[in-house]
Amino acid sequence: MNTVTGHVTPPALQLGGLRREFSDGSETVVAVAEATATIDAGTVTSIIGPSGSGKTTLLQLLGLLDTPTAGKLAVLGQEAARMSAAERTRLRRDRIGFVFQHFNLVPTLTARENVEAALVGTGASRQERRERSSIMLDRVGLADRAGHLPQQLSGGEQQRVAIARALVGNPAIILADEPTGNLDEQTGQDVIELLLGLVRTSDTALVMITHDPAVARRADHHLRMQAGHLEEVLPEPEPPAAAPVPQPAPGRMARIVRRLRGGRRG
Amino acid sequence: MFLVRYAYAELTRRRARTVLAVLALAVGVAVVVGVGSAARAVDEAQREVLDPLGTLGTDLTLTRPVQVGGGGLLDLGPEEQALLEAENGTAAFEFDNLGDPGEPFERDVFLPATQLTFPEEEAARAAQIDGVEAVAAGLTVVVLHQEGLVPAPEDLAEAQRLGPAALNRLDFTFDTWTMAGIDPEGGSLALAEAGQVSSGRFLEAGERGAVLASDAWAARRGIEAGDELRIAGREYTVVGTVRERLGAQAADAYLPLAELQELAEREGRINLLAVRAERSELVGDVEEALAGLVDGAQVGASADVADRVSGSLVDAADLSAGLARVVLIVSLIAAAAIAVLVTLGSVSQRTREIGTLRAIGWSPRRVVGQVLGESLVIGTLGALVGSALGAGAVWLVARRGIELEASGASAPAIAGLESVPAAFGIGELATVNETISVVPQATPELLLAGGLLALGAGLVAGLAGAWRAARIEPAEALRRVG
Ligand SMILES: Nc1ncnc2c1ncn2[C@@H]1O[C@H](COP(=O)(O)OP(=O)(O)O)[C@@H](O)[C@H]1O
Ligand SMILES: [Mg+2]
Repeated sequence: MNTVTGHVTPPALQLGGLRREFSDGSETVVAVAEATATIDAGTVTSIIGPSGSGKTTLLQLLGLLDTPTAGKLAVLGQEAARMSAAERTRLRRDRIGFVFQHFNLVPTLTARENVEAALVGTGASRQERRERSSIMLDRVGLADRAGHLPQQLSGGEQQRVAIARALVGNPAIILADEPTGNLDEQTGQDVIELLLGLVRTSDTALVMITHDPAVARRADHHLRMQAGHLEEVLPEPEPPAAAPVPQPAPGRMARIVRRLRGGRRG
Repeated sequence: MFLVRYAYAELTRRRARTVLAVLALAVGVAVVVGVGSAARAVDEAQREVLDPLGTLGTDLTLTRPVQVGGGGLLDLGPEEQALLEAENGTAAFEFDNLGDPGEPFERDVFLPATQLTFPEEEAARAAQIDGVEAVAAGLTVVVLHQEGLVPAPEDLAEAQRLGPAALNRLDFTFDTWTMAGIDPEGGSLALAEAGQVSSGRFLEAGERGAVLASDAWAARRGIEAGDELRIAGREYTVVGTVRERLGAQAADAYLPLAELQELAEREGRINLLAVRAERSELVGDVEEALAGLVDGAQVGASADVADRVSGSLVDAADLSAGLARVVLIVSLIAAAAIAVLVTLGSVSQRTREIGTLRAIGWSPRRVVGQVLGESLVIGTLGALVGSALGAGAVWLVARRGIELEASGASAPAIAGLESVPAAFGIGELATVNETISVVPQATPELLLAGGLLALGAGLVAGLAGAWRAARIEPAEALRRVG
């Protein structure tokens, strides 16, 4: 799209003075006061900030699940304010993936059906949907768990199903809200490695909210929410004892998957 | 389709909820099928009892009641006037020519009926009326049998002054019964027909010296088929007995019409004409034409016999008309309400799930379709299970059978007999009881109706759930924990 015509790839997300207020008649809460940033395609961005600072609200605005009270938002170069509800739905289906803290799998559907749910309505045939879902489950190391219900899976496995669901449609943007928030440290790290490995091998922009400095450090860009204000920050320095964390290489991915397979109850 | 797999997964994996909703609808359907088939069976049984030949709507009777207020109302020729006067004389209380006071005597007097006679030819004329299928002529009389000693004129005068009760003080006894002259080939139009025979045989056309007794009269008089009977000095053989028809007109004894006319000295006269119209739509026209046939005629439909019948069958029929409808409506509303509540509960429990599906690109329409689809599956299951349940229950009841009773006085063949003094013993009318086995049947129409109602209830539940699901805001739904 860019190289042939010589156009520059539009940024994944462009936020200009984004604001979101909630009011219940008498009181008005400013969840997001001022958010201005540009998130380029294929980059990894972390958002940190105290609880209640507006991170989730911001992510929902970016994911077209909510509408800003003021400010501008462009998703993949398209002005959000000009989109119809149907266009927003289509964009979410085809270009955006979500990963949630509580995994949010449909409890009555199997792992593969949960992944497949993200392809419903895309025009892909049933056969195609199943194949793509199976391939995606294989890539998150859960090929042998395709027929399992969420309740039969560990937290780490559930989150990997959710990651497969977010990625199966080849989105341009993944929005993750504390994806490791419900996992123990080791499982959380493994899940993050997996997620990063997958987005870095595609050209997907990842925006993830996290409380974990170690997770935040893995990003290219570092943002912080402070009482509704978004600001760019420097990454927290690594603890002195820790070894430098290398970028994931193909061999490393295989190791992570193997480890995840071994420690299912994570 | 993903919808189908998702719906299947949802319904099988949340089994308790599915079973509750399906059962609620199934019970509703079963009630529709059960109550509906019972009501139908009762209606059918009632129709069978009251109108075994399906002629209730087409039969008419022509009579000529005594006009209260004097004969002046009737515009009759002098000959007809004289005849009726003679017929309605007070011969029953004239003892002058029986013999000397104190001598034994026995006689039968044919009393004037409260229905005046008219010429027999009217039957032929009635048969010519357009739309008339069949006619049957009849003559009904009251027979007064007197037996005892001839009273002295002064005793008689005294008794008559004191009133009817004092007649009992005279030294003779009364016995009265009603007698009908019928056309033995008149079928169900005649006052008695072959189908009513309970012992012996029916009258044969042109036969002489044969009489039929009603069961009630035979029991009262201790008569049975084969007995000899003396009427007005002639010997008769009781060839058979007949049971009363429920709600229909009846007499105590039956003779062929010609023979009764001769015996009662009313040759060529009848006082009852039963007419059957070809179709029920023609009844109005036929009724009008009949009324013009005989001066002072009263034409009535026989449909009103239904009003004279009571008993558990009629109670059941009344119930099926009233309470059944209430039961149906209440149970359907209850079934639909449970289905709606279950669906709303399901949607509300799945709020976060629905928010998630919306986030990953499901349109509101797809979510609505999903909820509706699931409810329609529940409705279909409810329809199937309910039909099976209802049909099973009906089958069980039908196998055991329900016995209901219809009872009613058979109407006196002579209208107004109720006013005859009790001393005459008339007015004791036979009570006819008929027991009928009511067999409910779950017809395809009922099963279909029940099934459609379940589907409708499922649809209502689905629409309620879909309405709630469509209003779920993904941003808010995703904030829910659990
Ligand atoms: N729908 C809402 N109505 C009212 N207040 C809300 C709503 N959603 C979020 N808030 C408020 O907005 C603020 C930011 O919330 P949130 O974005 O969830 O913060 P974070 O994710 O950083 O913890 C909080 O004070 C929260 O109570
Ligand atoms: Mg949050």
